[in-house]
Amino acid sequence: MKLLVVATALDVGGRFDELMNAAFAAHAASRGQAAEIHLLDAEGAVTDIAAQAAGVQRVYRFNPAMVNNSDALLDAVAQACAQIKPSCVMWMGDVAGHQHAPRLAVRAKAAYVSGCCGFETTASGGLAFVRPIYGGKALEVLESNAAMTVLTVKPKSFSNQERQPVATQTVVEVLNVVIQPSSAAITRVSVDKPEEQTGPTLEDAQVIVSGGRGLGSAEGFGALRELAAQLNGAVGASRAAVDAGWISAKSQVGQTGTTVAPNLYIAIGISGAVQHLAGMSSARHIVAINKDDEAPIFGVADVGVVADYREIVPALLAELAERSA
Amino acid sequence: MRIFVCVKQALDWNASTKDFRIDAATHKVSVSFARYRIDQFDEIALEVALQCRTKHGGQVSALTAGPADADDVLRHAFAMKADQATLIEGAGDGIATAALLAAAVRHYGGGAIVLCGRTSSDNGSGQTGPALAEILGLPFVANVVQIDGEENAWLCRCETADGYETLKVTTPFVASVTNAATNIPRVPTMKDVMQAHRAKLEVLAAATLCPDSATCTPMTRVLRRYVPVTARTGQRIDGAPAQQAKALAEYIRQCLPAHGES
Ligand SMILES: Cc1cc2nc3c(=O)[nH]c(=O)nc-3n(C[C@H](O)[C@H](O)[C@H](O)COP(=O)(O)OP(=O)(O)OC[C@H]3O[C@@H](n4cnc5c(N)ncnc54)[C@H](O)[C@@H]3O)c2cc1C
Repeated sequence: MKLLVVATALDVGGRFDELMNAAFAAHAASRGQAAEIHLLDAEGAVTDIAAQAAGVQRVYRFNPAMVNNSDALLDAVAQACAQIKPSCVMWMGDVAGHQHAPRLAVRAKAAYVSGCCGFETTASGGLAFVRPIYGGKALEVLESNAAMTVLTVKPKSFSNQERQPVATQTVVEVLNVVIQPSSAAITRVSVDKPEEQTGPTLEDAQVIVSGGRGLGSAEGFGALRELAAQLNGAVGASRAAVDAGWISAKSQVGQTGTTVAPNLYIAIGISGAVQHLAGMSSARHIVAINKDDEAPIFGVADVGVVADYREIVPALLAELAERSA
Repeated sequence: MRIFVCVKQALDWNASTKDFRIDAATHKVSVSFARYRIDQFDEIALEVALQCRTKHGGQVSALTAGPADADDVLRHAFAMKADQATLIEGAGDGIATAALLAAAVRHYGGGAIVLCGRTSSDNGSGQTGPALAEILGLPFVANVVQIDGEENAWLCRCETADGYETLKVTTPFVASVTNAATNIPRVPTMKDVMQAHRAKLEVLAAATLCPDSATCTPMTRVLRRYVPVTARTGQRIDGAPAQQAKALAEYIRQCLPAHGES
């Protein structure tokens, strides 16, 4: 039994660790049946040293090396899977992963498990997959009856896990793949990118200070930026704040934004719509500041403050500044 | 030109689900006052298709795979002014559902554009679109918010991780749709809702569409579904703003690792 982790150009640093943590969690749950962890370094982003340090037994790279074309990537990965015959293929569950992995499953006649956040052992000793349903309100445990299972890893589900270092000798193998010339059915015409931001990204931040429609204006985010800077965190937002044009789409947290799981999430002027909760409810500590004491956000908060943010945030900033001085 | 929109019936995402429970034996959700309706992103996909029809003409067909009582989502599609609607009776799950939808599209001779919602609010896999594209052998465009015609091509405005991009695509293609300020689903008039009740649906049997294809058989099995216990304290900080700020600062400091030790 083999586990194959697919790493793309984005899967470096923390994301690579998340993928490897997921692979080792699956390995542990399959009670050693999945004896080998292999890595498909699909875009040449992972060094041999990193792979060795992570305990990967075998690293595959493509010949010819990949071009920046998503159809070609999928095609090459599918060919690799046909050669390697893993029982489980893992792909990071970002926008690209969620496009490719189901296609790979169809092509390989494999089962597909989307947004896997944990693994269990079945009664018969097999591997079972845990994933959120109903926007995270519930979990389901699935078993696969296919020879191969393709899964996407839910971002942030494995980021805080401990992993035992394993001593391995990593073997590097080059896979020959045939890449069809692109049919060019899709071409990019234009891109609207938001301005660059400073400080940690939403994905990396240990503290996120998030604002919603309750801030009332773009200026309202000023105090939140200060608070985020004070706590070395990032600024997040609800979709309502993004749609109002107060902050860039990159900051959006939720079902259609980024999934985050920081140590501390501070929701300010956010009502707590299910679509927002879907992206932040697994934060370790949640603080809610809202002037409506019946706002649903209080239902998921560890600590709730019923107040106007315009009063409490400046007072909080002063309080934090005083103690840290 | 024919645009197929795949829609599904789901528990109303915006309904209050305070007593959200899952039956251990059936794996089904039980909530009081459960309301089932067309799923949120599917309704948005219909809106995008209807806007495209307004600009460029053509026919909008709604497709659903599900139980017989899923016909209400098709009636809703009619009320929004879809031209045609088909119920595929008996659904698989995941890729098996995509296989059924693909078979139905083929049954009608294929479509220029096949749309579906970005992800469902119940299962939340987001696999239908990509799987449909793969089964039909078509290109796939993710997270489209608007489709405009150009000579021999279509311009899809797509949401990306950090903004938007516009992609030029030739038909036929499959796309998933996401929400934006420009595609908030229209609210049908009372008259259209009444008319939709009498509209004629087409029904296809899953068994005839997918007699023995392996892709129509589910490959995963649900072992368990449950609502996780969350251990949130939900503690309120009361008092005057200055006192609240003090207590909150205290809590925040405790949460931060650097301060936790001192
Ligand atoms: C298909 C779909 C996908 C979606 N995806 C997302 C998503 O990914 N992320 C997301 O966030 N949303 C998403 N939404 C939107 C979501 O449904 C809500 O509309 C949105 O989250 C509401 O944002 P909000 O809480 O900022 O605004 P509101 O719900 O308007 O809440 C504002 C809150 O601010 C409080 N408030 C007002 N003034 C003050 C003050 N002075 N001080 C303190 N509090 C104050 C109010 O009491 C209220 O609770 C999606 C919606 C749809 C239909």
